[in-house]
Amino acid sequence: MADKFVHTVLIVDDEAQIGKALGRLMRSIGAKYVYAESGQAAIDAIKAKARPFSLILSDQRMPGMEGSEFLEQAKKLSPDTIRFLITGYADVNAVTDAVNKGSIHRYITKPWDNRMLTEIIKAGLEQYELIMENNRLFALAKEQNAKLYKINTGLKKSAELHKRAILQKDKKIAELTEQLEKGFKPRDYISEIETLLKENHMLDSVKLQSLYAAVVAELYEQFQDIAARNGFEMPENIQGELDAG
Amino acid sequence: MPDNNEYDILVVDDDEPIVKNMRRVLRRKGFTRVISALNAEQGIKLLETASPPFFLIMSDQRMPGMNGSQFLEKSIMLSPESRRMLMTGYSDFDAIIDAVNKGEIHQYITKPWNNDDLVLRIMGELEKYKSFQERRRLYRITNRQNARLFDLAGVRKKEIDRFIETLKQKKQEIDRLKAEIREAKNKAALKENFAGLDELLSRTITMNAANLSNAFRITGRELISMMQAIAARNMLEFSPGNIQVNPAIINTLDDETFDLIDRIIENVIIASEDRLFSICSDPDTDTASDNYTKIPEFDELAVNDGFITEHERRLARAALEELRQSSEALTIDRVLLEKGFLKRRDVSRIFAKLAMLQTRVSDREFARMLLNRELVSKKDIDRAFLKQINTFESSGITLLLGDILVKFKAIPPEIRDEIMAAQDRGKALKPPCTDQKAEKQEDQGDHQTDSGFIELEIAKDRLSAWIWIPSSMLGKDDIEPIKNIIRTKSIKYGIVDDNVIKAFIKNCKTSNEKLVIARGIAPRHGKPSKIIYHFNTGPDTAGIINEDGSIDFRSRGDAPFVHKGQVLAEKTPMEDPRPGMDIFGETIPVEEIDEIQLQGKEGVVLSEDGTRLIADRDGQPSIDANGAVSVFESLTIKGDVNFKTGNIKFRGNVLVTGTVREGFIVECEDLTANEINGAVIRTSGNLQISNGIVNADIQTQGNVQAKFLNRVKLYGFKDVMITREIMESTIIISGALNNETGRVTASTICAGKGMTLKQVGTGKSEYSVLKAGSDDHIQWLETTYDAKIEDCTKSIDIINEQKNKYDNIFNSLHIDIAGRTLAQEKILKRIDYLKSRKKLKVSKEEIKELEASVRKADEKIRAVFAQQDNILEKSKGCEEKINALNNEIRQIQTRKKNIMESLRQNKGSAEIKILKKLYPGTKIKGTQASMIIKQEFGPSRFKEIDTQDPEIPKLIIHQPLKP
Repeated sequence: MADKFVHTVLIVDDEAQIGKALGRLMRSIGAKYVYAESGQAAIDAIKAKARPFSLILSDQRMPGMEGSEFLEQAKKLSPDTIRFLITGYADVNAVTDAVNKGSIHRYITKPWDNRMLTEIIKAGLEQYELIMENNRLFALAKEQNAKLYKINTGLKKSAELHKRAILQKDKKIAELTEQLEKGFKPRDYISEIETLLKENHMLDSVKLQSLYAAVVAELYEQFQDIAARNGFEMPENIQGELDAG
Repeated sequence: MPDNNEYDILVVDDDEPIVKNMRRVLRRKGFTRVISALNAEQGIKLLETASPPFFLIMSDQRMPGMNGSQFLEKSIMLSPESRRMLMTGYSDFDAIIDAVNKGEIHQYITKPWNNDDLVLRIMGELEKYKSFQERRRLYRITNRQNARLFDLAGVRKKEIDRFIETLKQKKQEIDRLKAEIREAKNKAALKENFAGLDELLSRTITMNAANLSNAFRITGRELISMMQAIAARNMLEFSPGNIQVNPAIINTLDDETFDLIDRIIENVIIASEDRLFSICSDPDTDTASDNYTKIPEFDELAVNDGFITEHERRLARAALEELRQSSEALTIDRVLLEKGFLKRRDVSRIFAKLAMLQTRVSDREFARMLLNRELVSKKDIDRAFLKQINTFESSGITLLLGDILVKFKAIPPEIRDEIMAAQDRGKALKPPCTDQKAEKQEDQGDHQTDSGFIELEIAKDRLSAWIWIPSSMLGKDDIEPIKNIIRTKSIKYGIVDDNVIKAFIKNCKTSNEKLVIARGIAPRHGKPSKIIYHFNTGPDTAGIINEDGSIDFRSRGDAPFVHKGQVLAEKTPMEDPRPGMDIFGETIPVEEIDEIQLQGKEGVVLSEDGTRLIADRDGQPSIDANGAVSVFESLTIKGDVNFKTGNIKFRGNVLVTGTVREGFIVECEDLTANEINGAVIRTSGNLQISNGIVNADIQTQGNVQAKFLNRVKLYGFKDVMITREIMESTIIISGALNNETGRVTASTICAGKGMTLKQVGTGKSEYSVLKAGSDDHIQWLETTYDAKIEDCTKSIDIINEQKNKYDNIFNSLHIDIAGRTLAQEKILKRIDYLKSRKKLKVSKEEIKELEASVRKADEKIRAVFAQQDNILEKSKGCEEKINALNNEIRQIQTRKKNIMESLRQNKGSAEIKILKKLYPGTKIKGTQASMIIKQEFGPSRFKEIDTQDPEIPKLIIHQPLKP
């Protein structure tokens, strides 16, 4: 992570020499830096920068705005940035104040050992990375949560929609089935004939027999007629065969 | 910081004033939970037991024993998440930087320190600690969300796929119904708009004399059946045979009657329409084949086709009737053959023709379905039928009408398949079909003569089929007719290579040679494994019974004993069953065999290949009711089981030289003791008590031996032997009870395998109940197990409810977060908008306010995420519990099943034997019947028997025994 993350450190000191020295130290650990010679200039630098600084390293004693005062303002402007204060022995009260207000993460007493300072700054940058990583994860969690919510509601909606579509089809099927069952029942020819016979008062053994004879005779006539038209004849005895089956 | 008091700090320093000062400083900052240790050893102990873990471990470098950096290094293992701070009295930069770089410490502070500096650093460490915790939680959350998103994508896809599939099916169903309605409508319309006999006949049949006659017969018969039905309904007489039809009759009828007659004829003809369609014949040849509306009998066809005369048929029929008396299996074709009326080749021919006619019946229906759907013209159908006949006449092969039509390109293959499927013909075509010879077995094949056709036989087991070819094909090269026949028989699997058939035709000398053209795979029925035990698994023999009835178990010398490494049991390999495949491509299923697993429990290991059980220690081998083998060590208790020893729970055999005292529990394998008095005993092995058992609650899976029982409740899997009295006790066992030398009073005894008793009752004591034959013990076990399962199920329900609650909370938090995020996004958009109009002064204030609310929302959302994470942990906990309970249920069920099975297997004679005396008042029970003894009995036997009487299906009978 440390390789990928490009840190920019804000160095605030009224002595340009010290600022330069600190800048060299930043470069040696692979971090960029911005130098400001006063608290006000540093505030402008924070406001002007699109991406927040990873770390601010500020001297306490500066003309105009003191370091602790500046860092207090910096905290409001860029809350995630790690803030270190460089102090001399005489600044005990300022430090205690800053510690109590929670406006600094660490203070470094002059004179410092460069190796120690390097370690401290590295640790500060790591902490910043951790905060960034957490912010990133938090944003991701929010985003994914929103996505999940959307998908879930979408699923519910589409399930409802699908259910309705299928219900509609089912209704249609039921309708068609009913139509098929109701409307197109095979005709009951026997009952139809029975009705005809009843209407004509033919439901009587003798009448039925003679009617049968007449129907067979007529049927044969009609077949004979068709046969004749097609150039052949119906067999003579065929009427007699009927009852044999 | 308000929550500093929730975080624990460990301070390790031998300098007490420093620690005291540190406490004071930290307390001022709200860190109230500071725990100190004077040296590294103490610190380690505290770390080992810390819960929750310390967020910060501070250690002085200079300490007696382990120094600070060593201690902190060690603490990484014990408390990896803690922040570690080293306090040094001097500045050894190199060592410190080294330690920092190695990740052993996160901070160091030099003595004496500035309190502000110390507080600042500790606060910094707490911030980092929280950040790491937060990061861990966020990882967990995002990973979980990711997985869920992935799942949901799958769910959505599945849901959509399923929806589309269902929709497609429904649509097809609708289309099908619509088509059906259309067809029905057409048909109805057709019938409604009856345009006369002429039109109908020209639509349904091919016009020729034979067809017309047939049509007349069909309509005439329809008329008769209708008239008969009407006559029957109205109790009228109607016998067409007696009616003389005089064509002249129609000249005498009036118009009204004619109208009636016409309408009757109309009805009759429409009713016969479907059957008129089945008259299909070829206009040129006009073969008699087509006049069969149903499949003729063998002899009928033989007559019609001129193979035999009607006279010969009658003779054969008569002979058959006569011969049937003696031989059931005789058929008319055999008789005709034997009488010499038919040649063998003709028999084959007639059978082939019958098969063809059968096919044609289906094909006619096939044709009608096509015609009804107007998928094909009548002309094509007629042409196809003609082709079918011609092919049959020339080769004896029956082609399917559908295949011919496809070949003619009259219909596409899909239509053929669809209609065939609608006819359900896929199956109908499979043998055994009309070809009765298919029933013949291969070894019976007495093929002698050449029938002139390719003949195909299928073995009864459907595992092979073979052919004979006519001499006309010998030496030829054309295998198509053979392949055709294979196809028509639906043979699909194991067909020999074309080259084999080719070679056969070429090299075959006579038509007697047969060729196996398809072979399936015979199924293999597997063999289950068997388990062979290498130690005595039979019931243990009793000890020596002394004269006073007490039993000396220690003199027993035959207790099996094994040494470590000894093989206890072996499993023979199982043969896997393998399903077969018949020549029609259908799987011949075989019964699955369950693999038997060797089960080794305590002191037993399973060999790597799973086929042997080997003793893992010296001891007594034992096999339990589940079939699991164990090797038990033994525990000897000299004296009593009492307050000194406490309850005994031992996975092995226990020997108590004294008494198991009141209120104590012994759970073990075999238990051997001098006596039991008021104790609770659970053994999975045998229970051997030299003297008596008094006032005890006993459940055992082994045999029980004791001198006497007094106020004992005993549930046992196996046999019980008591040498003296059984008093005021309840014995419920699956095995048998032996009390040949004692006396039973005021007890209830239920033994699955019966009992042998010397004397029951005294004439003065309370009555006893004796029950044999029904295994109350099994029932009791079953209810016990069921109750346990029921308990688990209830617990699951409760936990499930809890889990559902958590899940609901989880979901509502999820929605809460989504809502907050959405609101936050809106605010962010508003901020962007305001920022874009920088100039307005009012905006700046608003932006500030809005940004504050965004931060606030973030805080809240973080908190809700944490809450959600927490709830999910709880839900997971519930799930684990449910899984554990389900596991337990499964275990109980298996145990129950195994035990039930093994108990049910051995059923003994369920009788009650009294060797000396049975006093009245005793109740004797069987599985259903019961009786109360009214008189004194000497040596006797009681047994429940089955009666044939349904009123009293069971009865207890009494038989005197010879003393």
